[in-house]
Amino acid sequence: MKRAGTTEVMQQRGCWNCGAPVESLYLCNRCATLQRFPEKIDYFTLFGIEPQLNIDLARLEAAFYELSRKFHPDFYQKKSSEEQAISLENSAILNKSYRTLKDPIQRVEYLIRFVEGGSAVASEAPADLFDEIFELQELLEGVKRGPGDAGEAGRLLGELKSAEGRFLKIQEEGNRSLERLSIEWDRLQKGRTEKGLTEEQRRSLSEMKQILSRRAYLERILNDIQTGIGKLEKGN
Amino acid sequence: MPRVVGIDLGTTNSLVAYMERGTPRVIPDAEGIAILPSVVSFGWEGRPEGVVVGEEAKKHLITYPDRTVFSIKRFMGKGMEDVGDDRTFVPYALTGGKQEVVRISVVGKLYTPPEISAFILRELKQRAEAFFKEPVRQAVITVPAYFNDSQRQATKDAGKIAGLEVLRIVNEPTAASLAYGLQKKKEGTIVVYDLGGGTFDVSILKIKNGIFEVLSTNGDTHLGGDDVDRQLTLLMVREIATQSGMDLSSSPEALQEIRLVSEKVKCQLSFEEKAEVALSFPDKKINYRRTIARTEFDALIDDFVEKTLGPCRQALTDAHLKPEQVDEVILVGGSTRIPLVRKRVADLFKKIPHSELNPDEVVALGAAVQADILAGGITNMLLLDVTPLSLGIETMGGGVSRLIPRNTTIPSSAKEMFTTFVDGQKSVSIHVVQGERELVKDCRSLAKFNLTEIDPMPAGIPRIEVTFMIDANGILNVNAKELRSGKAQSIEVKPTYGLTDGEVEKMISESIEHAREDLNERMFIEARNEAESVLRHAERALSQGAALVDGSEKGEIEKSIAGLKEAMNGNDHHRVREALDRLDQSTKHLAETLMNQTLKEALQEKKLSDL
Repeated sequence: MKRAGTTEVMQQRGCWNCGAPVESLYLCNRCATLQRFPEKIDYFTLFGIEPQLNIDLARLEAAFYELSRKFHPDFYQKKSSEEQAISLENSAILNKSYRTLKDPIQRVEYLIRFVEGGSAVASEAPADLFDEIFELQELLEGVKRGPGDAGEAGRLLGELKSAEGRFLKIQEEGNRSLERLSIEWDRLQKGRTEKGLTEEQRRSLSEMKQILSRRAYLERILNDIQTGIGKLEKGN
Repeated sequence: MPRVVGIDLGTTNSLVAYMERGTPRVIPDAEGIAILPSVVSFGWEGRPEGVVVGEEAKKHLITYPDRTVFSIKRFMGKGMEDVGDDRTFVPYALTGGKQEVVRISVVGKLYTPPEISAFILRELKQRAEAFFKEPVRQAVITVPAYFNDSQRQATKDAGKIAGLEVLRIVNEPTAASLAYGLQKKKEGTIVVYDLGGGTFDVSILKIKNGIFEVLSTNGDTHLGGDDVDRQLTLLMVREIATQSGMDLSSSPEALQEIRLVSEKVKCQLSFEEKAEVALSFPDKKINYRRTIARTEFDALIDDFVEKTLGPCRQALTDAHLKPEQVDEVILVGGSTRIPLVRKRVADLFKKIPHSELNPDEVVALGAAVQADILAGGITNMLLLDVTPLSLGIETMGGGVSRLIPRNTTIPSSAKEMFTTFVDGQKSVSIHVVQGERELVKDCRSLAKFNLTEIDPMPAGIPRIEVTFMIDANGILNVNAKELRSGKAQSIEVKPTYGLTDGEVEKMISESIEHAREDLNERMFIEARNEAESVLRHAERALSQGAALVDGSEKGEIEKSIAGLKEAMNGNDHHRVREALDRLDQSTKHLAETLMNQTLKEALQEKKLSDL
């Protein structure tokens, strides 16, 4: 697998200030000035945690607060402009990492990118929901055209609300599968040091990807439903 | 350690505060008053730049409505298109072309909102300097959390024009939480409900181990106590029209007076069950008397209060919280004194809100805390704020591609890759917008960034990486790099409703220029006053001692007097001083002769009296 250990993340780099080789993630050991994160830094390494899907959120938060105190521009007000720039960049990377790892869905997406290298999860129409989605499109067309009378508006609203309920439930089921797969992934990954993925890991990853692409599609559909509901309710 | 002050630049009132041995304090004026009304009046002879600020300016609201500017904050970072009906509510004249910043026209001059705000900031700066007896050059200035990029930039510009280095733009509700956190030393999840004169903000924060992490923020930059005044004003104008058949809405003076009465009624109804209104316009034969009960007032402002609750609910959703999970609610801003506001907030969050901190001062105090953090005083507190609005770029067909979602902790950055579509294309334009909607036309245009001087290459070959960075002030910075060469790509920035750097520089130099003119004027006045008294003495001496001087000496004195009189009619204090010196020289002999004679006479008198 592509997971890079701290040693791998750390390419050879020299301190921008004194030129000494930099061995830690963000500090020069010799002159103690702040350094940019290595270019290939990953979010797990940044927080010093294993690349897992079930993570201790309290620990993540504590690490985020501690690192914020190290990088935040507030503390570099009187430093050189270069250090100010680095503090800004590192803070931005830290904030983005925290936002990503804090959210369970974004965390799975990130892990997939991390182990597979760069492939984004595309949204895909789920084949098993084809009829359901087709019906919904008809409904939404009706909203777009504008309901003829109050009766039709009421009917459309009722049907949209029940569709919303159904799709929310499907989404909820997806979330539960994702949780189950996350636990499985962590179990498969535990204790592994060698590179490359096992057959089981590949299967687990591909299942997660499928759920995510389904999820992304449903998210859009739900958004359309809610916009439609909003329109009808305002119209009343 | 240089002084860094905290400034609350409010719609209605402004304050300046500082940190004194770990405790934030507001800085009073010479009379001991901390609150400075955010009012600037123009056209006053003998005053620097003809301007008066604060309480004194407030007195001119009724008498000189067309040249007394209030609520300028409502126009910060705005173009004529988004001013809306505010234009009809203020008696001063607004002008500006399409896609241009609003300008205020007073006494034949045009001012941008940052320039007018700079008068208020300069007053606060001078107040702080008088208090410390040393220059103050750095400040933290607060803005509503829901202010967009242009409004923040405009505030920073105002600081610059006033001669202040703005170390940080900090959000008002978060500033309040810093003051609150410092004092109470409590941890947990808090909601800050900040309803000021013209803006409304709500922020939800988590306080833990000295970290103040903003989870979400929402608001309305166009909602505040001013709107309550407006409701009352409209009611009175309507009733007066029914009773007397007179429409006062076209009389700025009358409207201003009704507006001020409305403000008083609002304040009174916050503490009493009813308020008496008495308005009379003898010239129009209008005599309007009326009692307004609290219940009637509540009904009048019900929609207004309801409008603040939507953003509260959205902020809860964005923070993934239920009302029960909020530990405390803090009220900030003068308008939270309104009982209906308190009641509705308590109902929504299911707890009695806190209001023990002075709602008028707490924001300035918090700004002073942040100032102290930046100066290196406090080291254990850290504020992690968020950007209130999503940032995106225009895509083909007028859509928006979101780069940084709202409520992202700042600093925050996003990178995008750009290339060319046509062979040899030399520039690429990027339109950056802020807002939550899907289409560019529904979002707020921030700026157009033009990547220029791209080396001519076949279409699609240049790879330009653009970094959008929202800094700790919530202000966007953009830089670009051509990846093949690794060189920085040059960018031209065209802010949609802002001032370019060049324009700000010009305003700064103009204000320095004005300061020099003011100084010249003052020195001329001093010289002229001195000249007047010297002139009186010289003329008297000449008439008394006419017999003691010869013709040429007399001629020289008369010439000097004429020269001085001429210099006094000019405006150059140097010339007055030179003429004064000349007169001094030419009258020297006469003065001595007169003096000797007086002495002689005095001695003679003494001799006589001895006898």
